[in-house]
Amino acid sequence: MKKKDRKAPSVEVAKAGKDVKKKLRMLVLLALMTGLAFQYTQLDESKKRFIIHLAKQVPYLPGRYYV
Amino acid sequence: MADYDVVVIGAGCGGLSAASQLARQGRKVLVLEQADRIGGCCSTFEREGYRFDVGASIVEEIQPIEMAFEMLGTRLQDEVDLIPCDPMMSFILEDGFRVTYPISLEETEQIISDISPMDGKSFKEFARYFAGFTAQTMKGFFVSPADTMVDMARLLLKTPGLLKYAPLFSKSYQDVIIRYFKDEKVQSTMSYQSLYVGLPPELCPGIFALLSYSEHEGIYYPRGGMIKIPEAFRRVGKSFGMEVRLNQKVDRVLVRDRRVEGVALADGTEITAPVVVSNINAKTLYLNLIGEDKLPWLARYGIKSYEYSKSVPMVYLGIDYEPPLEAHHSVVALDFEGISDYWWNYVTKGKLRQEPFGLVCWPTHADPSLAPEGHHVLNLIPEGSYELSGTDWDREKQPFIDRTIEFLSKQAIPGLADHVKVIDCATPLDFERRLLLPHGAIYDLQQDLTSEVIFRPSGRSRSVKGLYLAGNSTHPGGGVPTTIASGIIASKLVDKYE
Repeated sequence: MKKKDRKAPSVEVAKAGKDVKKKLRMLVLLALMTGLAFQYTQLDESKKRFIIHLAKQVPYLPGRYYV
Repeated sequence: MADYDVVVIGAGCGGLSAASQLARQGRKVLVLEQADRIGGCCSTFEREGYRFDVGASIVEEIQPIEMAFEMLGTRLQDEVDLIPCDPMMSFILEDGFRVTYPISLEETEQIISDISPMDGKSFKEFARYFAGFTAQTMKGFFVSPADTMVDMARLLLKTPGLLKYAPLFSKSYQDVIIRYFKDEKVQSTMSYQSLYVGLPPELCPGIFALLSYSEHEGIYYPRGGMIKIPEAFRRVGKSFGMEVRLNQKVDRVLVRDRRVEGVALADGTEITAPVVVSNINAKTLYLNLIGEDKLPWLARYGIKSYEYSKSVPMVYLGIDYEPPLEAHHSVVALDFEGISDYWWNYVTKGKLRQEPFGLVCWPTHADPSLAPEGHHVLNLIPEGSYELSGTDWDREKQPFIDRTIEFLSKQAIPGLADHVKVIDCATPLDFERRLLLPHGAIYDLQQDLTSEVIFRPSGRSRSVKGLYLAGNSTHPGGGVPTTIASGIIASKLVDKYE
């Protein structure tokens, strides 16, 4: 019984810790994406076209690797 | 028992390079060519006493060609009379400004300094940087397989110095040139070369800024015409028993249980061989000659995703005067803005520019024997894409020739229109019909970062056993020395796996 009592809160704390970590990760990811998006808006048109031109072809890369 | 050990489809430089190496290995090799002459784009034909090159107009970075002949037990110098071309290139800008760069880096630096002292200094730095890059690539990149991640890892272990140039992959060609050169005139002399890859400077990967430097390492013209290079491979290959048949169009590659068994010709003849080397466009090979039903779905998706490389119309002129030009190659050039405008408002909309720009080749500058005495040959290569909106090249051919000659007479070569004796022309549609280049694509597939090295069709097919690729479609890409290098790679792969 004593053992069970001690275990119950530690499981909850671990779960809460995991949630916080997950949220933090999401926040970092969001901040990173916002930063990249902001940086992209600061580029001149020609650089934007270069990036878009390459990005458009990324989905084809796995297929091209297997030709 | 099979008819041959190896059948090679296409007697272009890549096919003949692979075939001659395989014959040297002691294999019974047959090369099948659909046209009535060898060489593909690297060929020469005659009209009324003038000899014209079909497409390729010079060779540079000749180390892979030298290596190919050394592997065949001979020397390039003994097989082909290569004439060094100097000056390297002339540039004629829209405002009439002209400048000529010699091969010598020091002299070029001085000429650029006269335009812009700051850019002259930058040229030295630019040349040093790309000379280092060229030296690294020559250590193995051009003649090593680059089919898989393992191949890439091996390549980088062999030449770790290549990693220093990784930043070039994240920049555009235009970014690299602008970083070094600030003067618009100097930039304009460095802008056109991106179109060799088939992309405008703003879309072309920075790695190809190398092209503005590489010709300073030396450019050469084979005496007698570009066909002398494939002819040398045929001659040496024949000494090892290699057989070449012309006017033989391959209709299908025979495949059973994902293994090649030979080829079927257009007339129905079947020729069996356990190994087939293809020197044709990889999309044509996989989708038409093999059939997509024989490919795994990922490979099918991959091969369909490739875009074709650039196509160009070529106007061949025999003239009865010495043209007022200064070099084997002259470029009627545009600045970055002009090329971007051309790309977005003409190429992507299927329109032809009223004022053509592009390359003018003057082969008789190096080799007067290509024309009757006192006469010359010019090959005009103005930019012009395959797809035209609301019309086609058959209809546009004559007006395009007239417009090109008239414009060049005014802008670059005074008197040209009055001295033309012979005219011939190959439009992108003609290249498609005569050389079987889909969309008239002279380098087969687009040479972008996303279709290079491990993302270009593998030298050893991953879908069909016994099938190997050489030529423009595979690593290291389009061009005469590079396709010859691809032939070396194909022969090494066959030697290893068959």
